[in-house]
Amino acid sequence: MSKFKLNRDYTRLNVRIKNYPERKEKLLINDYGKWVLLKEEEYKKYLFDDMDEVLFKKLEENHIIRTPENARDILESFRNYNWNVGNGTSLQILVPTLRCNFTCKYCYALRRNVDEQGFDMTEETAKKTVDFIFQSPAKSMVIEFTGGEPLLKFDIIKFVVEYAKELNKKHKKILDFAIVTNGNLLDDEKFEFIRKNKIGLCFSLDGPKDLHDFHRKFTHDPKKSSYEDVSRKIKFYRLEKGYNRTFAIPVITKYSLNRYKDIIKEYVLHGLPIFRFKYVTYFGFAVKGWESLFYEPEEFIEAWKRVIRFLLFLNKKGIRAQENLASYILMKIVNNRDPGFAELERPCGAFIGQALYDYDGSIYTCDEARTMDEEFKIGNVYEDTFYDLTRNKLCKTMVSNSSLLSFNCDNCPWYPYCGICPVENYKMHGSLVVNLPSTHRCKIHKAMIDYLFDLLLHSPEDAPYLRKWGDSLDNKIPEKIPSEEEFDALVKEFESKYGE
Amino acid sequence: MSDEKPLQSFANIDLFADFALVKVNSKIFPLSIVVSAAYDLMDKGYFVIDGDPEKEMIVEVRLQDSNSQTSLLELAKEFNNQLINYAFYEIQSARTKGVREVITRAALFGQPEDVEMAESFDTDNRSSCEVCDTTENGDNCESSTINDGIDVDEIVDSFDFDDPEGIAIPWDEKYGKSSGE
Amino acid sequence: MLHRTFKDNTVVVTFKDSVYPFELVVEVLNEFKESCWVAIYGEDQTNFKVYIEPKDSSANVEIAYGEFFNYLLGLMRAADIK
Repeated sequence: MSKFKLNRDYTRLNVRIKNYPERKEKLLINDYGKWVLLKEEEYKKYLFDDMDEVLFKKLEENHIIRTPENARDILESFRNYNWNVGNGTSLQILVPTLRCNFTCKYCYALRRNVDEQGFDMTEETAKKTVDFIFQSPAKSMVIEFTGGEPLLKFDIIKFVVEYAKELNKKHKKILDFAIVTNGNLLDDEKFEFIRKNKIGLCFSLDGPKDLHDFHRKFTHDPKKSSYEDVSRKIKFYRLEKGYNRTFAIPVITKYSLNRYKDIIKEYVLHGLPIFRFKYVTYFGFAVKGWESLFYEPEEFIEAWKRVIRFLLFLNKKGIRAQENLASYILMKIVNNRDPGFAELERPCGAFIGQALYDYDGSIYTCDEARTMDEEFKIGNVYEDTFYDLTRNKLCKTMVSNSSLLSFNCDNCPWYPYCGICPVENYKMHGSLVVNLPSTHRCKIHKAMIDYLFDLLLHSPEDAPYLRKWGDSLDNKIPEKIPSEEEFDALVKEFESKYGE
Repeated sequence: MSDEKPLQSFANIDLFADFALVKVNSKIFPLSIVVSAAYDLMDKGYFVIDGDPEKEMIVEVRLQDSNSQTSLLELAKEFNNQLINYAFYEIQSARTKGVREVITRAALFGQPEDVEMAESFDTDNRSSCEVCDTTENGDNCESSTINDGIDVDEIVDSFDFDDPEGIAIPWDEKYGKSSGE
Repeated sequence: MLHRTFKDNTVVVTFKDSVYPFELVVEVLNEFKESCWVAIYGEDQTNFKVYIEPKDSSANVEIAYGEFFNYLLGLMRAADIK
């Protein structure tokens, strides 16, 4: 038996096909996202084994066929694309406290009140957690602090950072830290520690004042503006102090959909070039207000496309701004690189890519999982080892479930670029096994990937900017930030040009 | 399956007033392909598989939404198209099985590119996975309780989701500025 | 043996112990399913009928019929080379 089926010195790799019938083109995509666009005649030649040299080379370069010359490249690309499999847990999410001084409409974390007892991580648990974290074989790791409001237990954050850095002298990993915070408790003293240890700061900024305040309230003073507080903090620490490692994300609810220009304006004026227009997820408080917060997938998709068009328009006017989710997809399309963004990974990374360590030492498969009862709790830092949990039955099930090797995902052209959330499927539908094409996430992802490919392939004025988005997420503070009047003028120009 | 006379017939489809019957020979499309095709169209129609999976199956197709743009005949035809889709999916999968396995093993596990040698290796890495059963509730399970914290619940309950302040209305629309000014 | 009939913008081709492998017929129909309604029905993989109806009612079904067999020809040729 031959090693592999040779067909005039080449073997066809498995491909999925997206048709563009009006253009008489076919997009062939291989298992790890490398692709080639063929005219119909070229496709027939490929199909009929009647290729000329030019076509053969095109297919060989883009890994649609495997030859002795490109076999090594194919292995390398495949390996790189699937780097997360077997890499070890690299996103380590730690909850110093479940208490929070805010109450947000969509909070998925099931936070506790500031004055409640028994929801803080102790130093002993923090130490055990860091010991556990360093059992991961990942060569680089991010320890991310979330909550509740993690700054309420800044002492634990300091302890974890210092202890982790101490342990890392022996392990020599690339170690990063990040804090997801509402920013209210951030002050100069905390900031000095954050800056000294290069900790990333991720704020929530939902948009202009009325929208942000509507979504996010101080628990003990709901009438006080939370927007003014976070806006001041971002401007001070990012722009005045020049701290590049500040980020922000909005949560997009039904109230945000038509306000995208206002939201992007906030981001641009705060010197934040990365903006994430992402659908709200079905967890925590969002479940209660779901009918009011959420939207049909079609509504979200239309709004998201308008966001992309607006951002590309701004790019052409010299304003650096990119959409985060689109950029992650484009990294896969343009650079054949998996950025390690859990929501677009296959498998989803449940424990093998990320893990959450709750204030009491409980370990969950991911951040969203802790909002369930205990279905997705897989262990405890006091009782289990990393090795134990890699063999955990639930983790294996989730890996299998989110590998997208079910027939209807495996048959989808966008398979290499997509990802699912088994936890959300379980939350919404009561089962890990769902009819994926009928889920809102599938409809949204399909439309996003389809749209981005269409722009890349058929919109030469937009493609260079999208390729740049796919190269990296550039969060550097812009050298020049437009004034409010300048931005408003751009909005008017966009609206008159596109009628949006 | 039905004693009525069809209103119309096309290929293997008999069309009745509220449903269509699609005949499928198992020697051409086995049950697995029929199931895959029906599953794919589950959000558009209802599919009932009758008959003998060893000989001939008869699939009853009904529209989920009688007001939908898709007609019943179109849905039945789409079902035929999906049979072809999944039949070819199986053919393609079989054709590329060897090369996919070789590449995956060599790339992820550093095993040789020789298919025969690769098959002789221990496959412990491929553990069996059991899939959770569906819950009795089916669709939405009881939502995980929002953990206590009475004052939090009060605040959440006080959220006015009806948008009396017009937050969702774009600034331009609210203040009457038109595009093009 | 092959037999074809045209009716109502549909072509029905009967394959009975023909030279065309069933697998290749499926492959070609898969290519056509985007622009046509297609179906296969019959006794088994050596004795079956293929139905092709262009989705665009103004399209010429005879062209679809011709294209179908040309596609089959191309795949047959490729298969022979293997």
